[in-house]
Amino acid sequence: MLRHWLLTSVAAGLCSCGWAGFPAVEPTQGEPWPAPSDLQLGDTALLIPMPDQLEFRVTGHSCDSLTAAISRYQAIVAGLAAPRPGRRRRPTGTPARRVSAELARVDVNLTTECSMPYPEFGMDESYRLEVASSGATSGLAALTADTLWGVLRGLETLVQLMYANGVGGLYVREASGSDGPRYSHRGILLDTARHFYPVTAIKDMLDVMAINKFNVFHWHIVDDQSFPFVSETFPALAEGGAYAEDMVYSQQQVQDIIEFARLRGIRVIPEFDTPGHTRSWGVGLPGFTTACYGADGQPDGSTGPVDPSNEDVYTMLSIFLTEISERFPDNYIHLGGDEVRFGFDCWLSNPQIVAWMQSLNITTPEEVENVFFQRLLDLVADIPGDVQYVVWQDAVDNNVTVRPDTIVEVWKGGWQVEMDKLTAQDLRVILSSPWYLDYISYGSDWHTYYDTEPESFGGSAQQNALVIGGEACMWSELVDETNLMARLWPRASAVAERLWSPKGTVRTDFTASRMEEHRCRMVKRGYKAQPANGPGFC
Amino acid sequence: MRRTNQNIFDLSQNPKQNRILAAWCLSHANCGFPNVNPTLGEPWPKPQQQVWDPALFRVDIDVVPFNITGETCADLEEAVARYTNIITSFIAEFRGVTASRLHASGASHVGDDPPFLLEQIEVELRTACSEDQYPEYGMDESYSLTVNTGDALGRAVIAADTIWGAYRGLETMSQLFYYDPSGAVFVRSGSIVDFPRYSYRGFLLDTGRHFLSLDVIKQNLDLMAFHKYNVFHWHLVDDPSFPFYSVRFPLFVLGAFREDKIYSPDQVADVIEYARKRGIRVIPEMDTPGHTRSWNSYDILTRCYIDGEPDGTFGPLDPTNSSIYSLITDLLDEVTQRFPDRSVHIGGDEVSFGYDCWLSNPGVQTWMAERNYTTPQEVEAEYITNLLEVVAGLPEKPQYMVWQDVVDQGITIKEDAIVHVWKEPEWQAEMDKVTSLGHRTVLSSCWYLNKISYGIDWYKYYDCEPESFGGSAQQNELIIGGEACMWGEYVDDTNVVARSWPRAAAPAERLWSAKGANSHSEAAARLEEQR
Repeated sequence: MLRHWLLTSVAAGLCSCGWAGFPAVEPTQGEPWPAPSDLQLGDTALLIPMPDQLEFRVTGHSCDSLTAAISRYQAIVAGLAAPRPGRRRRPTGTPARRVSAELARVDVNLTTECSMPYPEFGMDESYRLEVASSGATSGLAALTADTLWGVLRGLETLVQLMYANGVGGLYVREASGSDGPRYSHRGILLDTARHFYPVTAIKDMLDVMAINKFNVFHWHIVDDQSFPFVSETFPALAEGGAYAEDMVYSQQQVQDIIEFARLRGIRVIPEFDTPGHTRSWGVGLPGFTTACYGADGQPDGSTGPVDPSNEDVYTMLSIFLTEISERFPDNYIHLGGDEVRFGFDCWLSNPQIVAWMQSLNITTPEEVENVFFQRLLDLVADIPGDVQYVVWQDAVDNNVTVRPDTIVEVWKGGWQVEMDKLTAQDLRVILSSPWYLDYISYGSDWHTYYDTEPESFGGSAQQNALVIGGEACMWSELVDETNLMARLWPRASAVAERLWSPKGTVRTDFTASRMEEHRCRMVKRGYKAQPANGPGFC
Repeated sequence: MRRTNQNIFDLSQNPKQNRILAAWCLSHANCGFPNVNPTLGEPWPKPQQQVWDPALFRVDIDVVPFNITGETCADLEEAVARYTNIITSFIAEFRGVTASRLHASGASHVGDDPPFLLEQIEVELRTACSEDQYPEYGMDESYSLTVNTGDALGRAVIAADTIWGAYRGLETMSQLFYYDPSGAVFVRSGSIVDFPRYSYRGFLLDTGRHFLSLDVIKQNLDLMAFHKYNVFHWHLVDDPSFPFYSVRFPLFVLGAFREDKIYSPDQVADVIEYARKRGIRVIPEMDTPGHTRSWNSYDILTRCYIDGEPDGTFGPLDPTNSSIYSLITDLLDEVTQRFPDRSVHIGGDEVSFGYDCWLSNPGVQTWMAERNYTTPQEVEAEYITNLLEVVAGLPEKPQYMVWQDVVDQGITIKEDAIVHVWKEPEWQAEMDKVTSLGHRTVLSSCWYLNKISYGIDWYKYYDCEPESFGGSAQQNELIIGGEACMWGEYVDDTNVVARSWPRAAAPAERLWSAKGANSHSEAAARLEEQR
């Protein structure tokens, strides 16, 4: 039985209140973000009569991961309907929607078996969604996907088609079609070394990543400043290199984060950056890093990059990275390799390294870097199982020979030239240069992130096919738990849409309105996403 | 279970040495490599005079008792209770952290007992205080603080002539506590004589562009007290919304974003009282004739015309509508009665954005012709002049503040009016001009904290010196202070606190501490502690 009085008032777009403030951008209602590739949204809506009792029925295969996801989304739907103080006036510019049916049920049809899958590069994340307000299936939302990952993405889209009218009514838009990502690698880098983040902060970030259909957490876990990762094989690393005893990630916590991410279809790629950015490694393992010498020919007390002349280093890395490959289920490890040049002087100041260079007949620090990195790649190749790797562009720029299936992450300025060069060498690339979100500026800077097109380097179709995605990077020099969420969201949402939605999705006034809704969507779901468009309210 | 590889590196062969390493790291507070090591027990903003005593002064009790030895009142007792809590939780937190670290690392406590243990903190207020006291311009905020020196061995003594000074002294006292990584809590010993360089040390929040909840406003007031700010400039309303509930003009809140985005009279009174108990004045701003788009509930805005027809948009207040003056009189009468501060900010900025609208309106054209006006500047000048008369006639006799635009338009203002300098980059020339005209001035140009940029931007806020325009001593006298502004275009509850702090700590020190305290490199370690 329809509740005509409620439906009528929505249908007429009337609001007895007269609130007339002037937000800079009016939000949309029920527009998903990132924009689906091929989903038609109708101008009809369905009332969800009792949101906290909305039935989700599993009609295909099932597994614990699927039922966990359904419970999560049931709670989200119930939360969307919670009455909020204040009446929502209908945004101007949004046509009133006809409400012609009630949503009776959500059918979730996973067409293949799922057990305990781990998300991986190239996984199928597509889904079909039908929310019908007429015909034989009227009142039914049907979600179909071949994989658990597609189901996860589809459930997120479904709840984003829902919107509340502010007086307790919750609606879902009529929809029909399919959706799938443009790129398979859609990542967020979080640096937990410059500042430490508690596990709860990382989980909150993963939750919001799922809202934005990101699927890779690139965990830049250690760096010069601290070593918060507790290794089983080398516990001294964290004991010496963490900021404090309680600023570490225990084995249990790391596993917990990986599982939390898996349940949301997010891969966790750990980065252990060498040979530069390793100052904190040398505290727990003296001798791992190079002792720098002063002009007087004596050690000056400071340390530089990894000491490539110390054979123990390679043994250590082999054991350590084996542990990493076992503890992180992802096929990929990020091996870093950036900014080694900052340590060149230190290498050259050290008499043992100079002697070692002579024994190898090499004269430049670039060659030292190359020798180290080549040996690193060799020892990774010997790790049991098929361990693949990602490296920062520096390694290839410095002519290290990498495996043909290496993924190279482009992060420096002049990225178009670099993308062209790397893809011409047949290497797969991830773009992050234009998406360093730690660089802040005044105003709606998401426009710039949104407008960046990874394929704008003008490569061939073959080259474009080697662009596998991108990453928004949140380096933590000036970020910690106090400001991470607000600084990341909704700015990273711009990157999310660029990486998910079809090529040619351009920014218009409507995009800004969708962004306004999306930012408030995150706020309403309990996350501190900051204003995107100037004055306004959620 | 995987084998533990301790045998690869020489130093890690011996598990004991590994622990020693960790202990070394703890005892030197040097685990990992933070960029700037924080100071221990150094207050911010820097006191005018401080003499430190190197003696260790330890705290072994969990709750440090306060003893009020002079005058007292409920406000003082409440403040003492507040700081008792702050200090108690400080001590509890330090003990908790260090105990767990010690347990894990096996390090030992510092060996020898220091000669003195903190027994109590005395607060000596020398003049009577009462709940009727409201902080005001020029109030005495000075205090002295003696910790474990002279005749105060084993004690700390805060002495002040006014409750405002007592508040500032209590804050400084709470900042002298620090913990040694060996596991003990200490207090910096020594003596401090302190007072502000400027009497006006303001912070602007803009609730017209985004609504801020009472909780966030109060949190910001706490942080202001923490940094010895003493003026909350409440930019209540603006073009986007009118969240201030006026008792006389209740329809104004139809210009709010929504019915729950409104400050009721009780809530406003609550904010004022909360601020008062921290020695913070609340100066409301009602900005006219521009920035008033949300004011149209009473049909007082100019209709803009295109091709001889109203285009549906609105500009500044309509100068031809004589009822605007009775309305603004009544509104400001209400505001000045509800806000006990002597000052009211009446805005007056950026009217030029509305000039085209004025000129497009046939009614305004006729009205201008009757007065022989040919420029919109003349329209603005007439409005502001009338507004100033309105303010002068209010029963509360408020002192008014205006944005610099009013003076820049050549409008004559009362001598005791305060001119708020906000434009960049020529603020030094403006300060020179305003003070040459004999007006008192508040500087904000270099402290627009809403304008974010990447990196450690507090240096530039720190380095901004209000007297750097090279005026005479007499001109410098007219600088009554400065104000950090957090305009609300891009901030709301989600980010306003993180964006404001610790960046606002830089102007706080510039405005409180001696002119000579101007080395941002010396300040960096203290700021690290303050954060």
